[in-house]
Amino acid sequence: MFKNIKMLEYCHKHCQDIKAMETSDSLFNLRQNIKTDVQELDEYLGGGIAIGRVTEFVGLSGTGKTQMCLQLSLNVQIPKQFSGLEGKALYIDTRGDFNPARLQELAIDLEKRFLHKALGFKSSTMMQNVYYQNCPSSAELFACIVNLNRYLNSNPSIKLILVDSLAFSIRMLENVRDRTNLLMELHALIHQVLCHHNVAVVLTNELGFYRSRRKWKLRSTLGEKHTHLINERIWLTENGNYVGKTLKFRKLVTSINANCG
Amino acid sequence: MAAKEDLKSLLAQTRTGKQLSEYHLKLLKKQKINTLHEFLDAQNLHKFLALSIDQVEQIKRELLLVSVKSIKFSNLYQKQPFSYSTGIEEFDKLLEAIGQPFRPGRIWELYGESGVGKTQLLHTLAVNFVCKYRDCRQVLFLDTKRDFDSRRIHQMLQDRHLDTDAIKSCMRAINVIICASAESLIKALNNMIEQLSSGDDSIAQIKLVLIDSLAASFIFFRSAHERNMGRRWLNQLAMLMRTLAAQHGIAFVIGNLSMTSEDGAVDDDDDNEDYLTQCSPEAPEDGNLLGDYWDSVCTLSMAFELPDESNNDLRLLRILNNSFGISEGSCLLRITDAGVI
Repeated sequence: MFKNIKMLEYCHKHCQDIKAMETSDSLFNLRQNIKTDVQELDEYLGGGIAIGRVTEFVGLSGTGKTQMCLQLSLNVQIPKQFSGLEGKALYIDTRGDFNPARLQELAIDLEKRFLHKALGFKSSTMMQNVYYQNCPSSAELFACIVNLNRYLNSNPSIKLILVDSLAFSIRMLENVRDRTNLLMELHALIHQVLCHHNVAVVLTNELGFYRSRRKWKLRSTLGEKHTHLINERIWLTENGNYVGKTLKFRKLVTSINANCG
Repeated sequence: MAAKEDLKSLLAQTRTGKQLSEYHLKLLKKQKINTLHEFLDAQNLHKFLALSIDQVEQIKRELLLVSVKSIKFSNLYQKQPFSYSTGIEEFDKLLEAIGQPFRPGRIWELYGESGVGKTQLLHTLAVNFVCKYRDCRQVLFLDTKRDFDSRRIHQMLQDRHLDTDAIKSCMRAINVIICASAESLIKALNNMIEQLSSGDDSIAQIKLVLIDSLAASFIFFRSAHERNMGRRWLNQLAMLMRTLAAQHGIAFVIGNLSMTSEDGAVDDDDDNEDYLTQCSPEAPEDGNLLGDYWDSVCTLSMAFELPDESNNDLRLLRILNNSFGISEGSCLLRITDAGVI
């Protein structure tokens, strides 16, 4: 189904144009972030999830990945006078796990924080600014990502794209080779989207046990190539938040899990 | 007709070839010898040109000298070559020991697992380079997976206790091009060559090019057709880098991905969805993602690894391959907020 060479060639065609040379100074002044509301994490990331990059949240189930995604989809909307982005979010749900009631609760909490300070920053408008796309199969996810460019052209205020969970839909495929093919094509497409639009991409991934040298080791799923292609990986665990690409290299950032109870 | 003129003018440049008359040239035309190649390949030239074998051979030899551009060795040879400092003390010592200091025109490669800190090391090299040579030299960072982090650069510079103006000028000396694909990487380097040879001064100061990461743009080539395409581009890229290195003295440091294949053989559970199941020749047996050919491009390749799992900040930099000297040796580096030291 995904041995579609044409699609990848299509991506290459659109990625040919190179961007002009920029100095790191101008990039430094242009950078934008979305707060995660975990203070130490924000400090480490330099103000939150960076626009223009791929950030991945990984953790066992129940550690708050989905919660973090919901929070981010609201935090992206913080008005500009409070150094927010005043953008919108696109929530791509692969598990059917999206809970609007939970989002509303979080939105009301956020509204309270900005009470009397920001007029018009209401939970009802916040709810309207989170676009929701349900992609219960990997084919639908692929179609959704393919159409992302066009979608963003018509909705330029979207600043954040969340895929919850990427691993879930990739692992639905039976054939390992198909999985890797699909994953690489998704990455190529995401790269292309990042080239043309000023958005942040947030993925969630699961942890799995792998056997290596007769020992079981905990590792993030989706393989090493995937690990190489994402920019930042954040581990949500019961003891705290870690940052780093692999279990070996990860670094403790927050010792108590502040965000997720 | 142009080709004929070409052969004619080439012949006129040689000493013995000059003596060929109009009649000889007409004879050549009659034998359908119109290009240099045909002339060199032609059998029995001496017979129909009525010249001795020696004479014909002499012309051929001289023609070859004319057609192949040669550079005198003394032009290439520098008596006291200029060496950059990497700004990392241990690293400099190691390079000294293996006889390959960091010089213009060197192409280096850095291997490592993802997350080990290759990008961090490249950032550090960029910062060290501009701190030392920012008045007359600049850095170009070719970013293939948007890993360039201006904030990290800023932080490293701040940790050096520079004043705001110095930080600004350092940051201005680091240029970034975001290349989303292998093609755009090639295009970027091609543009560089064109600009340099047309005498455009705006990028003449760039003396160090960092590519992070080369593997990321070639990872997408998966079908048989695309793998061939990938190889072609890889060759083109190597050629461009060599040209830039040789003609303009630009040094390259390339970040490359290595994969942990050591315990791959027993990795037999159902979630083994990555590289091991692939039959691609680029699949890493020795950890190199880009195939055997690529091994020969770089003058020095180094592996960046974690020596000791208990100490998270320590890294081992090990020499894998060195085309100018001993290919053994390693040094320990430490990863800090101020970069790699």
